[in-house]
Amino acid sequence: MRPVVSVLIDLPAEHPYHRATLTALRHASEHRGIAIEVRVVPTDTIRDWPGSQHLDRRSSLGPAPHTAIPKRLMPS
Amino acid sequence: MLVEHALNLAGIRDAAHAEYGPGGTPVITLLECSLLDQTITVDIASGSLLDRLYGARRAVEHTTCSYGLAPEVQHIAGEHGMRVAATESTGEVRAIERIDHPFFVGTLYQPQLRSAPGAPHPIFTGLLDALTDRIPD
Repeated sequence: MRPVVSVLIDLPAEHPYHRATLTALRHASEHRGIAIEVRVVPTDTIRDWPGSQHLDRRSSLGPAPHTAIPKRLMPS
Repeated sequence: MLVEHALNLAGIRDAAHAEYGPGGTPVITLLECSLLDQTITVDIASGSLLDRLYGARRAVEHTTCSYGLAPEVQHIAGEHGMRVAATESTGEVRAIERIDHPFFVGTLYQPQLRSAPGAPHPIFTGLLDALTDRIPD
């Protein structure tokens, strides 16, 4: 099974920086000989992951304590 | 990354990003000198993951950023499990990483803009290596 790399984007997918990210992943994949599956995820579609604040600050910041930060590091 | 870090670990309960309006404690603010479409030289922190990935202590990178970690709170990038991985000659933080994660890296530059066929950027190969547990010790 190929590893999945999710790319969170907060600008149009056609934006040059995002296209460059996908291209850079392809370069790395080809160089390492590691086949990957790349999934592009617009941040405004994320409800249960942390992500960029660009499109939906509340949805991106709200769930973060439960997902991005390891629980053992959370302040008591 | 750093706003989340400030909110949830550094104890800055009203941490805010200045790009999204006034209010709160601005953790991310307009850079005094914009890095929009600039080439910068960063010093890689010894012993960091980036140190292993780059295999060099200095790197030239392209950046398109206007905002960065506020001068008043630069210290949080080296606290609560976060580590400063790269700085510019001014001493300002340009890359961070978590010490408790196999690959949790954030940069204030765009490594994808320096990748090329046959010469991928080490951060991207490092990500794939982490997927397959091949990051060198």
